[in-house]
Amino acid sequence: MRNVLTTVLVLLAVLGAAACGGSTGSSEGGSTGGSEEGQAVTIAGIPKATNIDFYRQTQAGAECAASTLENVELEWDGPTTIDVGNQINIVQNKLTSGVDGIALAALDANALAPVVQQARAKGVAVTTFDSGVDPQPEEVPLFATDNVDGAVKMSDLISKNVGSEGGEVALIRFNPGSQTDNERTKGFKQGLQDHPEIELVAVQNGEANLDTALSVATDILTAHPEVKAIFGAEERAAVGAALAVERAGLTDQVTVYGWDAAPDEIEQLKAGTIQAILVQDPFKMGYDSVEAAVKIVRGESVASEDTGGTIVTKESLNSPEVQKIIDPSCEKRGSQLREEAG
Amino acid sequence: MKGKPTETRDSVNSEPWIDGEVDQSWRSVLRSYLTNALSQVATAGALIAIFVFLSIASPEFLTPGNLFNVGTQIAVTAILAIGMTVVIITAGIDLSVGSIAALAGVIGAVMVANLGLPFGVAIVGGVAIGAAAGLCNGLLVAYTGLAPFIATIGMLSVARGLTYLSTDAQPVILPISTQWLGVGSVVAGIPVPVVFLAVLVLAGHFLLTRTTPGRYFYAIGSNEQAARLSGVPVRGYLTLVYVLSGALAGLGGMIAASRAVSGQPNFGIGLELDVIAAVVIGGASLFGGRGTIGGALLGAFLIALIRNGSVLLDINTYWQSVILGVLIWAGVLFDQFRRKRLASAT
Repeated sequence: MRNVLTTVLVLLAVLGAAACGGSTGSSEGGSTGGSEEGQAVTIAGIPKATNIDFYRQTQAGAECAASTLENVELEWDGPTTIDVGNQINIVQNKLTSGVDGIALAALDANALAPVVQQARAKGVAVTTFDSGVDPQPEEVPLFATDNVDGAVKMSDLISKNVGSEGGEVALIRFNPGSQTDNERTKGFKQGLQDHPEIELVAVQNGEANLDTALSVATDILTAHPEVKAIFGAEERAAVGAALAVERAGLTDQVTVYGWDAAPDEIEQLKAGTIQAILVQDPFKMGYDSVEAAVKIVRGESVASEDTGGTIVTKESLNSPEVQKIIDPSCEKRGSQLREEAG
Repeated sequence: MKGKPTETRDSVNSEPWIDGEVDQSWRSVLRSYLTNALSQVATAGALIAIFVFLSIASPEFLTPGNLFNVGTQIAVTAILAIGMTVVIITAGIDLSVGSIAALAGVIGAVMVANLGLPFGVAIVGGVAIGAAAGLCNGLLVAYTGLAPFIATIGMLSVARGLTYLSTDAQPVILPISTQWLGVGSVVAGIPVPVVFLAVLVLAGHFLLTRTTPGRYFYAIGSNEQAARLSGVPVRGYLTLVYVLSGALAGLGGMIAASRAVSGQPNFGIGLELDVIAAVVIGGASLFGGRGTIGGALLGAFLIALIRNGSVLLDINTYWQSVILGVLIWAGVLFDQFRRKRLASAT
């Protein structure tokens, strides 16, 4: 009885996995590009992780594009955590199920490149947002922030705030290997070269997880009692660093800088435990990448675009321009983005 | 099989219990006691060596502030390791503790934030959710004969999915008044989580060494068939260990949520590996029948020191994974070596 039950359960698990996993070498369901205007188009939107606020915003933008354009169906599907293998599987499953286009935020620039080429070989339209692949095919546009530039701007701001007498700063990363993390780190170090009085004393990985970022930031504060600023290059890193500084009682000595505009990060900005954040435009990324995918399916070609990064402080938080980016709605921004794209 | 069935029965019913060994001759009892102690001495030795090294290499290491931080950072892992030790002693494994901790933390946070319940009620609620998940694991293992690996891998997925579903994968913010559990301290600055850990370590040790259920756990792990034939209610006790593991995971999840002042849906991903590493490094055998709470605690502290030390000394985080992996090998190899010696001696 015991063996039969175990066997049945294992078989069910295997069948379930096979059904979800998608078989290789099955029928080529993908449609070729060049559908006529008005024919129904299915686009798969694949973020890096579905449970990070930033990607929720990209989803809002993507859904706005899908509803604004005609005859577009959006399938939003991504890994629940930072898991490169899982994301590759999702892309391949979408290809198998026969989508017309894919809008992808690549978890790893190198690892996702082969599957993007696979998609292109099948004639599926591909656009990327937030993070592209390496090598990036010419016809695959990227809608992302210029992360290097944003990080350089952040390094300038931090250096200015620390002052001319200089001091120690620390960096908390989130996903080494992804284009965004690599570029923000590169930009930050590059920018600091122009400020020799600032010393980067610690670079650690918060794993895009609040608990880890908090522990790591706490240990950095212990290891470097003279540190004057911590730059969390991603929302969880920033929130974790701010919590750590607060708990160590060092809010007068250490300022925290962040990236992105998650609700709890905004609260900390208002409370003063985070000094400034670099806000991207995830809504626009999602919107533009889906719209571009539809255009490519319908025979056009689309160029990459820098979706912009703005440094926001407590003072500039409530200005209309910033609010439009942080708290977008489809009605207001949908038509604006459509006009911009032309 | 280790001992003869009659020996198991006699031992369970009458003999003084020394770390779960069944053989009755005093020489082999002494030898097994020494080898068991030796694996813990090895772990303790490594712990002391790393402690001394860090004290010398990093001036900030040996400060009360840092040591309390280390204690807080490892408290959740160590609490989960208590439950995991008992499960592993029964020759089982619980791969779902990370997911259960996240589920409890998130639901507990929902109880406070959305339902307006007092935090104390939410803590009990979190533990109860953990126990319920553990009950599900236990029933699957004990009554349907599902291998613990498979049963708890299923729960790992189910609990994580339920966590994301319950809050649409958003963190649930807690009021600042709840942070005493994860961040508060009692006399002399000892963090609250460390106090919880100390109490649970003593309770767990007492359970394993001085109570009947404790002896039954070791017996089931040593030789389940023999234990059943001796009249040990195996299924009931197997269910119980998973309930214990789940409940402790629930408590750990609430402590973590309090520390983060929010229920974080992606808490604890991969945590079970740290927990299992702690238990194995501490001398427990994955084949069952041996292991101590003290050993698991040593293992957990070793892991915490390696993580803390890496940041203090600015070592690349990835070396931590390499070192931990090597320590796991060492722990398991030593256990295999010990079992071969024991088998050839009897």
